[in-house]
Amino acid sequence: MTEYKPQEIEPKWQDYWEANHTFRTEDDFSRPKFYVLDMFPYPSGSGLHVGHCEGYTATDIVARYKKCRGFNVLHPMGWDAFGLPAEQYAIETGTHPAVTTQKNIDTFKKQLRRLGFNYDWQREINTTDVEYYRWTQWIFLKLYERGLAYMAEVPVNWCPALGTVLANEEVIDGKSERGGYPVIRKPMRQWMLRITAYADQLIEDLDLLDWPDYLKDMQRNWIGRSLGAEVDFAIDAETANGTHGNIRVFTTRPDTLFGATYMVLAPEHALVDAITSTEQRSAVDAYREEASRKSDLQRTDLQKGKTGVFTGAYAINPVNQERIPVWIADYVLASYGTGAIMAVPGHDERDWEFAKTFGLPIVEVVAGGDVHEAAYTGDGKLVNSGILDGMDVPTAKKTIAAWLEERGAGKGAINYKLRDWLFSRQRYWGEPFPIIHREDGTHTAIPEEALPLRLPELEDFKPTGDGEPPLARAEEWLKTTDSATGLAAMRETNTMPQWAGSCWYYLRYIDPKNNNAAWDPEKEKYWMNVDLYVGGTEHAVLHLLYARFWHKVLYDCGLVSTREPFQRIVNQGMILGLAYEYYETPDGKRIPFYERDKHPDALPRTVHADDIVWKDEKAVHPEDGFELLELTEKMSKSRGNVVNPDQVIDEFGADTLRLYEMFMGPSNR
Amino acid sequence: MEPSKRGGVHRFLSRVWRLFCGDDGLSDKVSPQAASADTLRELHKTIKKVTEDTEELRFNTAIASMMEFVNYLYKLDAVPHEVVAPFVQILGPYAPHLTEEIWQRLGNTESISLAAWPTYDESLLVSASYPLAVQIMGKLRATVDCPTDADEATAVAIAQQDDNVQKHLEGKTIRKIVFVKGRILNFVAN
Repeated sequence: MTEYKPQEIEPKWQDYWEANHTFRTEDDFSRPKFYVLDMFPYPSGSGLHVGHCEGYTATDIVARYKKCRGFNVLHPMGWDAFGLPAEQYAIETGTHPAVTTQKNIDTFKKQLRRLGFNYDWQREINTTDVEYYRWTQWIFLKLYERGLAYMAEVPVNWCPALGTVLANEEVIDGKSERGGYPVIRKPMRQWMLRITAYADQLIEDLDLLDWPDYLKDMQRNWIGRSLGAEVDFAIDAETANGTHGNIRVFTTRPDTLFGATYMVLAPEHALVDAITSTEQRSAVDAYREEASRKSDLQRTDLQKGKTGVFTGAYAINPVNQERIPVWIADYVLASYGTGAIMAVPGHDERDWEFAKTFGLPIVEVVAGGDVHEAAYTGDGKLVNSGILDGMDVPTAKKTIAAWLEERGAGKGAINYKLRDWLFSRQRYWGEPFPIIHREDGTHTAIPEEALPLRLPELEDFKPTGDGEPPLARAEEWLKTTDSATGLAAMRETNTMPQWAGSCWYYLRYIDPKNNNAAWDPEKEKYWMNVDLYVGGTEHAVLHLLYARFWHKVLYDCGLVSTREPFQRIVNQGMILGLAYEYYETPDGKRIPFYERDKHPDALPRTVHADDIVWKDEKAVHPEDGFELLELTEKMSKSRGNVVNPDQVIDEFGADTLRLYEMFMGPSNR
Repeated sequence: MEPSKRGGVHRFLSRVWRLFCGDDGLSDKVSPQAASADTLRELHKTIKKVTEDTEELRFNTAIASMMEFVNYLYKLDAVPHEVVAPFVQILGPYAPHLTEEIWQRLGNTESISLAAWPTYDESLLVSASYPLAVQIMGKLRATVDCPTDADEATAVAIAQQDDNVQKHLEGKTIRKIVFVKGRILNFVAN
């Protein structure tokens, strides 16, 4: 009997497909199209991981299936290749990041080929290729021209050891995600992108998309639009070193204004210096110093106990003319709202905790709870609130907003948690900004025709001794002349973050070899938008948000034909039918996995991935609301000993690996 | 990877190979004889299931149904040639190398990935007969093969041909007959 020998069959057919260009995609506009996209990988030194293969196998199956169903299928692959590891390696060894990157790409490509994926390699892209990043720079110019890119002094997460600024999500517990080095807060000149200008569109256009609800919720929560009011509290100058003026706060609960018993400013708030009394000065300074060393996350989510210091100053509550103390505390962020809050301890949990800690008064203004036991955040009749007494919360909100507006003490307002996007890094291995700083202190963009602006060659990839980015070492490259004014100028030495290249790569696949334009408009019209996008939930918020933002700007520039880039998104976990676990006692009571010890006779039950509800990025039971245990964890542990798919292919063949990846799941456990 | 499950899918692919492939060409078990109505129904059921599941990204159930079909083929004395091509085509997106190889051995000169997806015929999905449970006074006495479109009279006639049914009805008067089409026939007799 003849044996199944994948080791013989598989290379034979991989060679055949390559030699015959079996998977080449033509721009045949007469046929219906299907664009299926993988989140492209960062080509790391450790090679392709089995985890990558899940999503890639899924899209490969869909691409092959759709092709047989008569669709003109676009199924491309490329490399998100700027990034820290290659640069760190360059600093340590002197090997140019481009060399390391190319080597890693070759390994990845070989591995992907062995899995039999039907990519059209003619369309391969690499974000670090100058013919690619010239168009990333070109899109930056579009943003700049529209006033969506600007410079600002902003407090940033500065990591002295890595010599760079990190995004909030790159900082974990006050340490850098990569390397675990300490991170401090420090004001620095940075490039920012005005993503907040698109906040409403980014929320509203989610309705156009076939995305799972939890993904849409994660986008909405990140943008965090809340309706409320801005209210001005007059500073009591006598107590504030004679400083006159207002402290403006944003609140989503203007109905509780009568319950405001103190105020809190962020330690970085511009008024802190001016209003702090002599007696409180040293305590306030010490507190601000300490706060500067914490990340936003440490200050808000992770911090259990509340800390803070009284400034010595008072402000006047506009609704009842009460004099209330002004504190500083690091749980208030300079970047949220106005960087100041009115504290209503009776009806806000954080304020309540703070008031209890520091013995500040707690006043009930909405009936329904016992504010001396806990903050009451529910609805109810207003009490102790003058003109608002007897109203319910929504009516009181409307009434007080109008009252404030009449008196010029405030107005209805919308606030967003979303901040403008910190878009510069003090690194070498990134896209150079097409920006020059003239000797007269002004700056301008270099003309489109001058693109690409190539990364200069360097021998030392470290930041300079005085903290300037590595590009400051490229002296010849650095000095230039502004062609418009003839003024001497210096190039921008920051580079773009890794997110930049991944914001538009799906558009370049459409026309990857075009030297005259980022893409051809006819081809864009035919192929866009992406019919199916598959990737992991780790990119559910930022990559998708940033890419959607750029896409909307390109749409407003008339450069793309669709409002949104990704019509349908699926996470691997859903495809694989992964389940989430809880327990059930013999009498039918459902209990969470973490209470299992108390019920030794409880049996495991699962909820299918399609049915779970997402809350605060955790999977919870659709009816009971408790957290569920994700079974993927167990599974990935059991696969943990296979770091590299090559081992499986060597022993069993790629077809077995493909089937295995797709055959996982609780129904087959 | 969990060795048991990996072994499971690897065994499945080996079984597909051994079922269809000989040393060079096709296996001797592949025969030119026409497929029976039963085999065609199983094939079309599998095409339908794999088509719908792949469309909806339910890959694990698609694979499971292909495994079932292979188990079915293993029970036959010979594999009808006409089922080989459509089956390897629906397996194609999942196991592209193995299926290219079989596709070539079927005499095709172009890649399987360029061939049009097989269609299924709804009318073939309906089975011609079903197993009908025959009870006498509530006790199961026989299971008979009953044509799908048989009415009560036909079903009774078929049941009464069964030896065991005849034995238990002997000397009794049939008082009442309850016939639930597709499931059960009950004689009330004493």
